[in-house]
Amino acid sequence: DDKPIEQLRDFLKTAHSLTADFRQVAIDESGRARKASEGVFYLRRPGKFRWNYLKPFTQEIISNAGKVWFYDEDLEQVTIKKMDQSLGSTPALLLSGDIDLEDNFILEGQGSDEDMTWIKLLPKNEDSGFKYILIGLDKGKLGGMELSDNFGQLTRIYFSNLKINTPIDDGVFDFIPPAGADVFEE
Amino acid sequence: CSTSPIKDLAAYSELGRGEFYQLREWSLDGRVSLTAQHDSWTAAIEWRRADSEEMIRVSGPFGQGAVDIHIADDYVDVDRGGGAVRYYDWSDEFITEQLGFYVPLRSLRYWVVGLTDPNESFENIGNGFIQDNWTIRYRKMQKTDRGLLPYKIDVSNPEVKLKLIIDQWNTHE
Repeated sequence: DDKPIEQLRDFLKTAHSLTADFRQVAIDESGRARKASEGVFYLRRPGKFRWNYLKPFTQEIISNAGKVWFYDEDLEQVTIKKMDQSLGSTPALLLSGDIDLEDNFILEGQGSDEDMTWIKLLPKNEDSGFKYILIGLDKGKLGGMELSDNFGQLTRIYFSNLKINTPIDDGVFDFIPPAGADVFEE
Repeated sequence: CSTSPIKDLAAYSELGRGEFYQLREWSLDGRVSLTAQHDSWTAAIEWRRADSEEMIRVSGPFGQGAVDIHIADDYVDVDRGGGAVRYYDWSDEFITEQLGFYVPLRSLRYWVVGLTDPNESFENIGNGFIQDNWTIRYRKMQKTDRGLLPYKIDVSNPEVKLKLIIDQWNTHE
């Protein structure tokens, strides 16, 4: 069933920028929802994204100019790494179109669930840190993601209030470490 | 079993903490950052202590790069998702290789609960203590059903800085 995969390609080709609210749930190996968080996700191609976690605490994952900033407000810690060294860059990179899907993943249409059509991406590179990633499309637009780590724990992300190809201020992708935070740059 | 959202935070005081040496079972859920000259990372951490054994899981954003470390009296199991590998004559340096940093886990299991390692001498410094060339500072404590437990801890020596936030304590009994 290639239709979902086609829909995904079309979406990635047409979505040059995207803003969405997200809700993220960690589900343990026995299927219990453990931790939930929420925030705003920004994406602008090529290569810029920002996961702005607002609840239950403030964390930021920002990609810009080939680097990824990871910030945790309570820990007062900023870590700056090169894109490919940074854990957690893969999901957004998928969406930013910076990664050629076919080069890096085996794609499989998965049918429908939770009112979305799902596509499974199996990493060709063994140590990507994920067993697989699912992308859910809601009427052809990004609706959800699911990542399964090496222990079979799932991270499910649900997107809402999507705004596609609307202008996003450059400043959104510029991270200035707050005073007092420890900053480590690779 | 009690869980404790952050209500109001208080200052560390060593008084009356002795009872926590009897606390046989507890678990915490939080965030940790580890920084040294060569690297730094921040991760979610879950730590469960039961029957004098420690089960620690650290994982990066979206659960990426998760590692399980299980410390028993005479062995350590390390699992990166492909199945546990057991090591017998483990040393703290061994943990360094697994985490990429030297962290005295055998002392840390006391420090996270606000206690000095009973096997080492220490020097009190008000909001914490110095032990074995490590400085442990309790930046903030939080009220739980079992009394004051740490919320924010700094553990550092000249080479490594570990910062720990405990979002949730479960003190089983």
